[in-house]
Amino acid sequence: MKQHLVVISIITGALGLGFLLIPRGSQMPLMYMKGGQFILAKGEFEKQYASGNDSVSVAAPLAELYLHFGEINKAINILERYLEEKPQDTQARKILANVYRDAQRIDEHLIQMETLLNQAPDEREYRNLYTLFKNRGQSKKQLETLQKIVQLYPGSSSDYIHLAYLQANEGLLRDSVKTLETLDALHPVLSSPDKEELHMSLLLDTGNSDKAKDRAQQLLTRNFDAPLFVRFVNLLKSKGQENLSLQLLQYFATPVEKYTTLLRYLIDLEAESGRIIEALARLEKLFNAGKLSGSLALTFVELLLEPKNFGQGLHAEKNFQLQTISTGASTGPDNRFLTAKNRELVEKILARYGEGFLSERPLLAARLMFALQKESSALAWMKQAESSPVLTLEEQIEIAGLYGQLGPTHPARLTLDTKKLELGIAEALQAPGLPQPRKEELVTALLDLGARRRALPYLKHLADNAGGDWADAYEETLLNLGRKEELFKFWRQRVKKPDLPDEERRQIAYQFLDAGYKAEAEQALLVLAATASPNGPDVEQLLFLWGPRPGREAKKWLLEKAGSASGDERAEWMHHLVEAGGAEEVVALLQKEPSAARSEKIFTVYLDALEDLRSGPELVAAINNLVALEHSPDKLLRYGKLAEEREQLEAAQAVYKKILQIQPGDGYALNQLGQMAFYENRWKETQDYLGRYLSTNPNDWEAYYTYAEAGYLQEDIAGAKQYYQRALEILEKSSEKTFPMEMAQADCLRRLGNPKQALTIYQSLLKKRPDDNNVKANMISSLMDLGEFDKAQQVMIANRINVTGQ
Amino acid sequence: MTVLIIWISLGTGFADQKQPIPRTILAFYDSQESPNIRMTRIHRMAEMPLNHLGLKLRFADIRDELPAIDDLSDVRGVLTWFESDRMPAPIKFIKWSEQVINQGIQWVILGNLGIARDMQRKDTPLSLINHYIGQLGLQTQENWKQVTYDVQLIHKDPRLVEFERPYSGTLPSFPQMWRASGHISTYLAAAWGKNQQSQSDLVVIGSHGGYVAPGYSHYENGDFQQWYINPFEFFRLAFKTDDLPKPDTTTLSGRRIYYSHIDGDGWRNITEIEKYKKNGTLSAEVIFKEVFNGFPDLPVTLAPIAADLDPEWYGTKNSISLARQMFALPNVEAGSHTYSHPFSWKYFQNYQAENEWREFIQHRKKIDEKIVKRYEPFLSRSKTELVPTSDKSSKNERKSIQEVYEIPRAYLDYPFDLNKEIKGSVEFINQLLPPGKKVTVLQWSGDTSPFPAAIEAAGKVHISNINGGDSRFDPEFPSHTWVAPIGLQLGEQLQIYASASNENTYTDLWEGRYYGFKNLILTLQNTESPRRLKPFNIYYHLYSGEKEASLNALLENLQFARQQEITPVTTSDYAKIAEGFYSTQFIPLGSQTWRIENRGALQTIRFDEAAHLAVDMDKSQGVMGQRYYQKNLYVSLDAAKKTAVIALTNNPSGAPFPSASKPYLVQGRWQISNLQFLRDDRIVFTAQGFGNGDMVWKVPRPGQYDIQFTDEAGIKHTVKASTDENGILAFHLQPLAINKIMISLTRVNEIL
Repeated sequence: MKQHLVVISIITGALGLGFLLIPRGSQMPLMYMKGGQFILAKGEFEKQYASGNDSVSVAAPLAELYLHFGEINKAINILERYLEEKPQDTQARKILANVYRDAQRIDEHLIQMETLLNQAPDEREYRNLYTLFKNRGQSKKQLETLQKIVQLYPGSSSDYIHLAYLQANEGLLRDSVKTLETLDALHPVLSSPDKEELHMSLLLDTGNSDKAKDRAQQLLTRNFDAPLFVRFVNLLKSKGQENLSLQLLQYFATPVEKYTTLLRYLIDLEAESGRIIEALARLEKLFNAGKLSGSLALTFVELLLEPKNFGQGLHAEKNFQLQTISTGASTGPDNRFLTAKNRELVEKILARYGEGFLSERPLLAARLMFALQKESSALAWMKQAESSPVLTLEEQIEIAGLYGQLGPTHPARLTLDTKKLELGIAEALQAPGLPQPRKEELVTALLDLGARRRALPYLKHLADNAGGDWADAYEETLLNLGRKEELFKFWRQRVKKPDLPDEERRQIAYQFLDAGYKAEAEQALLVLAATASPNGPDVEQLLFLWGPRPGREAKKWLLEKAGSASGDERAEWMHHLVEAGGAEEVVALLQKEPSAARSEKIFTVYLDALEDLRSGPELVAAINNLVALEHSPDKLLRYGKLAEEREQLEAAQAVYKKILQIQPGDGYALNQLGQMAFYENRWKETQDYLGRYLSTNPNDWEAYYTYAEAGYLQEDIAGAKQYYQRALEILEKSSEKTFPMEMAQADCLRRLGNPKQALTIYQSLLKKRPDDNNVKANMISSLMDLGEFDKAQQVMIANRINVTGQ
Repeated sequence: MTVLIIWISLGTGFADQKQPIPRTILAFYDSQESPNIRMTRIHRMAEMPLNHLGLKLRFADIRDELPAIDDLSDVRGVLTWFESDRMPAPIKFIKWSEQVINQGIQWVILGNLGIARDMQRKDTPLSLINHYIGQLGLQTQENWKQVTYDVQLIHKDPRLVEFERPYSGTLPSFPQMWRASGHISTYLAAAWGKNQQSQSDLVVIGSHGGYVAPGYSHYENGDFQQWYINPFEFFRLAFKTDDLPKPDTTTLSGRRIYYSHIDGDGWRNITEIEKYKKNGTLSAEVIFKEVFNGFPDLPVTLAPIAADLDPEWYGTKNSISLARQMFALPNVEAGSHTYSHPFSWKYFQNYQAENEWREFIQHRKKIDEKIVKRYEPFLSRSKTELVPTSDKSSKNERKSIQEVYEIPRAYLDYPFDLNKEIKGSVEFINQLLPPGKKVTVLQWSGDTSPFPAAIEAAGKVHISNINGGDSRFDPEFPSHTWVAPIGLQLGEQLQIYASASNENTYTDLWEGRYYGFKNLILTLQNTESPRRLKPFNIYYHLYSGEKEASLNALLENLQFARQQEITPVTTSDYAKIAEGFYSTQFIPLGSQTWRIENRGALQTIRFDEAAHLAVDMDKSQGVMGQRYYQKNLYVSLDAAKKTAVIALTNNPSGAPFPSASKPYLVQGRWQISNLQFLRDDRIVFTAQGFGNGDMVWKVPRPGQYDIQFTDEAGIKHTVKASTDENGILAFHLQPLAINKIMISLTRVNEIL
């Protein structure tokens, strides 16, 4: 007999048979076994095995004896050693695999079974292995094993389907499609909804949507299976292939019209894609043909009643009920959508089915009756809806909404437990991921129930996220509840939102202002002003808020605006900045960019800014810088005047001198330079400038007078007299005389030797200005010229004038 | 003074009339789906974790009237696990659910909602379905996701899902559900497709209960099953069990309970074991010699089949003599394994002797005349007339019995008599027992599925009952789903399950791999850690004494038991402890204080995740000890105190042996009771147990202690022991304490 462990498979569990088959050679232990002396037999075999005899004639019975005594690991050791030498012995391997299994060493059992099946395939064992892998969640091994099964034992349709599933699970979508195609080839008529949905899904996921559509079309042409069609429609929807779905439904429109669910899908998809007229026409046709079922008649009514919302609702999954309801709540008695034709159709439907067909949808019925202005009927339906043993939250909301629309004075009253309803709504509002429309409807429902406090947190959420009317509603609610601090807190948060509409932000800013929250108002206005025109109301408000002496930040802000703006707006911002005490900043800014001052408006602001500069040196420096670059006599002139105004005479003279370089005959410059030279005791220069001046301006009494004074002071009395005379002439001719003119007239008279006349004028002037020291001084001089020293002294004493000071 | 103390204790809590904390889960099942409660998934899979959480079940058939709301005062939650989506009156059920939930009762749905349509296939309106699940914070459109390869599990909470296996391979199809409320948490969610609507919540728990989508609670393929969800965590959260102390049936004196019991099958089998077979030794005698005598430190309950011993049936002088010797051993408790060993108990629920005759006996080739005579009075026609059974149900019954057992009971010699099976067998076996010993437990035979009247019959003779359950948890059965609950409540009757399977399931129903029982160790390990779910139970048949391999496997298990830290008790002790689980009531006296009533023989209360809690020994009453194990606190109660109060306090440092003003038991091999604190330094208690008396006490004052006791011979002994640095006093006593002995601990010296 061939040395083979096959014997063990026979003797395992049936001790007493095996040893008869074992080749003779170990007679003693075998004899022991035959005699039932297993302990002795085991001892003998162990000795032989230990001495190196691991032939099958020793290994086989020894392994068997170990199993007999329950020494399972020893048996395993022997079998493992044997298989190392004889790996092809499939019987031995089978035994080892089984012993592993019995020893609960399942991993090792699986390895042995895999090896064994590769050596000696066996369908039943393959299927056992497949089950084991499946139970142990080893999906890759499961797939491998099933592939082998399909390969070796083809034919079982369920194997292919399971294989396709496994392949799909492993992401092997194309392989999965192939498997299903093989199955189609093997079993062309085999079809099951799961298999077809899988196939369709795989085609869609592998980019074969046309193929998927063709396949569905073929399948449904061959056998119009409505439930399968429903699955296809849902599948297509989940894959974002609504168009395909609509195409299929329209392709099979005739049979589809016989199935409520499919027809609803078709109508819904038509409505969703804006084909409401088609949907209505379809329903109307069926209705006219008397083929519209009660439930579809409801759909028809619903669509007639609320075409605008119909499509969004039906298959918007979670929101279906709510949206339908909210539509009712928002239309109700003032249904705007019930056109004359729709009303006619609705009335026809009612005439045919009676109100009774609405009994499954009492709320729809109530809405409908409201739309038909049958209030008592609507009320009856509402009562019926209310009396339902169990009402969904949405239904309760809708009922409450309908009652709400009856108005507070209506005698009909909601009998639902509104507190419980409020709680229910509040709970529903806490669902995470709630779509915005749903939230809005639930919050509206709470507000409609008057549950302001309960609505508040949700209202806040909506106000925060949606703003607009929700913010208004939240604010109103807070105000109604007297929660001002929360309101301000809300506004504080709200104005931080970058996308807040200007109008809302403006409102909040004004609210802050009214409430005296200046900082908050400022923040809001700053945001508004950031994009506003410098002349706009927001900026105006902001500047008003800042007041005449705004802080550093405000100036910085204006500076930035001025820095970033252009054109006239820039000038405006600069103007604001100057107004806000930011002249230095404006000047600094413009000095960096002197060309900007070419714009007349900016130049004006520039001047304003310069005017505002308080320190002389700064102004002088600024003007010097500007003058160096300026070539327009007109502008230079204004700088000159400015310098003069600020008593920066040196700077002013420089400006006038520059003007003379450009326009040597510029009268104003000559006159000013002359006057200033006079005040600085530069008599010659005075006469030089004024002389040139008077050559073109012969009627300026002041220039003549100054020129004369310069001469007089240089002791050129004669030379001076003609100028005094000329000045006097002009002054005397002048019909209207100012105080300085009178003063000059008196001075001229005095210089020309008419102290009496002069004194008379001085006296009249002193009456006008009793405290004018110049008048007094000149009067004293005149008195002294007249020799009336006593009078002069009296005047001096009375007025504490130091004569010598004259 | 005594009077005053009693008055004070009354005044500090016992007079309190608060309601017990509800511990009952009302479990709905459909008798059309599972005619036998034992076969329901709730019983097979959910009840054990629920038991572990301290909960017991009351089954309600959805075909019956719904329970009155007023009868739910002890109900903590409702659990449904329907296999179909139909029930007789779904709308009524939905309305009823609303009332129940309004009472603050938790509602848990596993799998199908069961309410989609009625028995006439009339669909329940979607709005009502949504109302039903809306109470749990869910909503649906009733769309099923059938093809799932494109489904992604977008959210998985590892605390609650993928407990025993991952969601791998082909995912089960499922109905689409969404959370409609913020008060619920999602533990498993799926998404597919391209739009937001292509999502579903699969495992959720909210303030009113929980939901697990069909196919996502567990994996099932034929006989193989594994949890996807963690049932301990899921039910803990869904039924909010953290406020409930757990009556614990696994632990006694701070250690794992050990018990062992033998069904008498195979008493008369001649052993094949080489050492014994020459003399024609019975397998029972092998067990006697190898086990009973070999392991005197381990108790064992032997339950013979009376027919094997009664000479009027199959008994012999030798078998009776052997029985007397076996029962004479102090570590052997007596049980009964019935008289005729019913295999299929259901067959005898509405027993007709005539049917048994016609279906089973008359087909025998050779029928003993005596048997004929015994049946004749029950036969309506002549015994010789072979009449085929016309009763269809009986025919089916016979077929099902024959598929498994061939005949409905082992011995058909007399017509079945329930009284004889139970009371008769007990009385017969009692005759074989030494003075003072009585049969204490009935060990169910055959399919271990007794009908209520059979259980009641055992109760009437004041014995406990056990068997059934067949708990396994090893690589062949790698799941908690094969770990049975503590027992089964059938109306007023209670069947206690054995804590581990016997060798039958390990040996292909005793047809091969006779060494298989050695794998019991794996189940024992898996039911000990990470949660101690079951006591250490070695349960087998006398035929384990028949084969070398089976005996060796059994001896290995016994050796393993010797190496463990256990408290050995008799099987009837365990059965009574298990009974106590069902009767125990907790009356809350404060946030961390409970009065424990009606606990029967159950002496351990467990607090889960309680490493930072400890017993306040001063405020507690009837508390003997405490021990931390696997993050849980096991509190030992004094069996001598019928009512106990457990007051917990904080143990912020998580000290393993929290200090107390009185000595307390940490753990010990014996059952301790009647603990008396005589002075600060001295305690006295009674002890009973098997093997050596290892004990560990925590004492308030360190020092040297004298442990004094009087052995059964009346001789006084003193053992000296000293505390360690933690105030732990560990010692080892060697008296025989199978009968109770009294022990005193006295502090004699401080240790310098």
